[in-house]
Amino acid sequence: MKVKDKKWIRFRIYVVAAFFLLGFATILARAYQLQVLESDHLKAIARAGYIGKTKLPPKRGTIYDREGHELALSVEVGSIYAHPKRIKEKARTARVLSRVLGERREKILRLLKSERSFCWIKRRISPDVAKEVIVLDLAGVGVITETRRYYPGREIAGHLIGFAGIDNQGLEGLEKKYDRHLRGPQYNLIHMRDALGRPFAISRPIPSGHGMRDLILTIDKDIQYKAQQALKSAVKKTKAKGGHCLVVDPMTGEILAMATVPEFNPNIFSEYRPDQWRNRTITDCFEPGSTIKAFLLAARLEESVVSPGTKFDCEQGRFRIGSNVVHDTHKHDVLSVSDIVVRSSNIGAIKIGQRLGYKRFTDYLKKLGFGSKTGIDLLGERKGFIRPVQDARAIDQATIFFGQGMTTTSLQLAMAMAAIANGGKLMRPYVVKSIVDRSTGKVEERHPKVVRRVFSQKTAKETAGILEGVTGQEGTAPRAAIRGFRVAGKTGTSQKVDPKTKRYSRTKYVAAFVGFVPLEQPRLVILVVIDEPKGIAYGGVVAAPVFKQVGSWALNHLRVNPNKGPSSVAHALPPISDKSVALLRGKGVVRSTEAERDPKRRAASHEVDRIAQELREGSLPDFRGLGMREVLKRGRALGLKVHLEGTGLAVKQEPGAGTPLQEVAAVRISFRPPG
Amino acid sequence: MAEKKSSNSGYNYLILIPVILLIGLGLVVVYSASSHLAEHRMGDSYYYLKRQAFFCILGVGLMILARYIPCTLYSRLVYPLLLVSFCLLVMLLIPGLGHKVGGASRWLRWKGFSFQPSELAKFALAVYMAYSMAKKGINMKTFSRGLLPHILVAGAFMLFIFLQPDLGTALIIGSWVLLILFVGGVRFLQLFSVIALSAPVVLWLVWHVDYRLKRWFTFLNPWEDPNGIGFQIIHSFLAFGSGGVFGVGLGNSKQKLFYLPEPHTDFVLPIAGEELGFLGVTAIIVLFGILIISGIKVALKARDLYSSYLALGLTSMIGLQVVVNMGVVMGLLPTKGLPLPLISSGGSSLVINLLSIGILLNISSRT
Repeated sequence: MKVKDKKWIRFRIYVVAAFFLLGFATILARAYQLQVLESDHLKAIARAGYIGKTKLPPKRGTIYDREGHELALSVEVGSIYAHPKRIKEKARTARVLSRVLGERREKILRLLKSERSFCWIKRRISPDVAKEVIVLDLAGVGVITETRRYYPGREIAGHLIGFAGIDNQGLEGLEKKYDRHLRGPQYNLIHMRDALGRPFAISRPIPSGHGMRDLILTIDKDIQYKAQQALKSAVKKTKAKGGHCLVVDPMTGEILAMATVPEFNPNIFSEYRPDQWRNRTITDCFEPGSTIKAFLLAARLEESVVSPGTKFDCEQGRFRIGSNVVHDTHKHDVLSVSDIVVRSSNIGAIKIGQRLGYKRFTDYLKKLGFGSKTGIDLLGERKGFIRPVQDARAIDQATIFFGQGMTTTSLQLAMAMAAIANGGKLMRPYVVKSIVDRSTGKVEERHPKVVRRVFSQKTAKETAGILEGVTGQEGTAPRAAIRGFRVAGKTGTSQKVDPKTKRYSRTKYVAAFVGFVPLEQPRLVILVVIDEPKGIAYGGVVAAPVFKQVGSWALNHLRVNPNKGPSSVAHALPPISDKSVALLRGKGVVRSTEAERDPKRRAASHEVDRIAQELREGSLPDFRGLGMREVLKRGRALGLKVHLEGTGLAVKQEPGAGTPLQEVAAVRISFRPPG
Repeated sequence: MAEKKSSNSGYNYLILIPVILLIGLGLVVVYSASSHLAEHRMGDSYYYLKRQAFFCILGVGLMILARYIPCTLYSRLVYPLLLVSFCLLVMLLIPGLGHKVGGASRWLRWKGFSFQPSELAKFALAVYMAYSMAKKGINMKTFSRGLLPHILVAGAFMLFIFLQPDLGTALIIGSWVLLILFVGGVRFLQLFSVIALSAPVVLWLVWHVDYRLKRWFTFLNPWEDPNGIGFQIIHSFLAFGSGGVFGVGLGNSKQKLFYLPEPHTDFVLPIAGEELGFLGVTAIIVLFGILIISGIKVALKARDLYSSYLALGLTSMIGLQVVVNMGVVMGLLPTKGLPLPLISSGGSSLVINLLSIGILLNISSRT
């Protein structure tokens, strides 16, 4: 019997064949679904399973001071890593590594026996040791070049700059505040690993994100260093707890120096306590004491309630406010407003203040920036405290006029003084002058910003004039006077509140001096605060000498000329020589007459004429409207020291155009961006 | 139709060529899938390749031998064959003889070689069913002669395979028996009653044992517990998906790197799918399709009823395993341990399957 002959069997076999065909078709359809339709989705899940990413710490940009000195930079070092799962001879590997690296064998062995697929053995070692490890060629052990943050200036501006951690992440100070900018491109290592966690392929480092950016600070490294040195020796001499010193350009709000003592070396930050990392010029508040009288005076003049000559009875040094008695250090009978400030009479200050009223005075203080953040580009700034009028008792309403019962940061005080120095404007302080993208060369400039006008020009000038008396022989701070310059300022000696008794201590003081120089064209506001000096604690004795040291040194460094006048030394300038002309010719500023035929160069020839005219007359040219490069070229060609301020086109020059060259040694030119 | 009594000295190339291609592909894929595993477990990345090559040679030898042995030989040896394979199944349950892997005793070990009696049992049953059904002829329609003896013999085999425990193989054999009985002429009503009666038993067996129930739920929703019970099937999906249309290239599978368990045995197809892509998988399915349809054609053209039933039985046994294995790795059927015929690593399965192909070739040559 054959199957062929039995139709029903044939039929049933066809059914079986159909069953299998159906089965294969279903499977094919499913394969299509998995491998074509859902492929991308499944592939992504699979990839997530076997791909790992190791982030290499990014390099960081360099931090420069305003003159281009490096304050923080990254140096290359080697780091040793291991893939523990790939190492078979763990004991031998650990032994060899411990010999080369000088680490304990057990510690390395423990790392090698860990279940991880990647671990660091030792990081940030010298390139020589790293090379030794490379030569050993141990299975599962490798070397990666990393960078380490290095602060060549050590303590210089340490508090301001802060520091970056082992993974190059900014942790404190500018390093933290500008972490986003300083962080270089992030490099990622992609590696694939099997299900046992063993990597089998590692990619080349892949960069991501932006290029490298550098910071250029407003800080002048030399002034900063001088400020730290002077402050440190003063703190040492007076056995004080610490101190602050700020140097600010009153016209722009640029911080030239920001010093805190005790000092701090960010290279070895872990050896300090976290509270020693603090930039106390912005994070610590204290009672400003008599320094506040400078602003009382200005407020008074602005309101024109009294003239500087108005006299007040100073009650022979004792004055009763309710149940409290206010004392003066020296007994005074009757003093004029100027003398009250110059000699720093508390009773006089109360009497002036009472005419003004607590509310109006504190409004001025607030306008001067007290009680709110200055907005400086740093982290951790505090606001300070001014008691609202409804909370102020009678005694509070009196002591505020000599700066007790309110608190301020050093920076607030310096900026308020800057407002008097610069003609009445409160500037916003800043420490980063510009951010430079290393790859594109693009520069992001930071510009001075006026927060508000607080006093009129006239009030500021008048106040400054009176404050000059403070450094005179009759004032409280003759030790702040700098030879050849007119210095204005104000001392302060405030009692500190004893944290235990919550009352004013009789032994703990803050001695302060804040002032500016030169009076006519203030270049520097300098604040000096000494915290808890032992012995004589007067600001005029303890803080004023630091002002003088820093001030005279900085003025010299910035080549600011002493006052002209009978007492000042006349500067003999060499007359314009042929050499200058030759120099100009060499630089292509002076062109030959052939060029005049070319219409494009006609403008240039006019320029030559103008220069020639000026040279002949031997007077200072008009720099206004020129770019910075041109100003420098011409100024130097005339043998002048040229000081530049701001950016853009020249808008102002000092001395003015036409001044005989014989009388000019240096020229100071302000720039403003056009438009 | 006129009867043609012809004997063909050649080979049925529609069977031989797909088989040679499939075992060749199997060697390559098994090596690729197992080399890391073998290196890790045995310290020799060629371990599974060598074994597979050895069994290929053995199997192809047996296949050529079987091509020339008249298939009537098996019908004379049917009862001793049935008895031997049954005894081997019983031996598995004797402590000390069965080689336990993962709680199941499925292998007999002898001098470093292990042998899977259930593979022989499938073959023995195929011969028995063909012989018995051909003998009964027209009586297949009766319950006592057509259905009962076959159900009893097959049932005894299934019981012992189930006791290993290996419910999956037992169920494959059960389905296969139903299929072959259907072709043999058993009435639909009787077949449906058998299904209806055995269904509650199977359900109870699944429900009763924890891991089987878990497998069932995993099948329903593998993504519920991707790191636990759904791990294997999910990584199977990931392998297929990663392959895309053209595959990642031979040797480049990621899932074989200890992600997908059993990459060279039951789950070899996902690795092939990852490395060779949808095109590779399609090629494998088409080759199996040609093989199965050719086998069925052999059954249709066979010169007597016994040969026809034998050809159909052997073909459908291979076909069922192919469909179930592919269905499992693609998540269409619940997970169960079953190799992909001719491709998966595993000696017993490969040798028995090649032997079956040899018999098919023999039947094909004598139409």
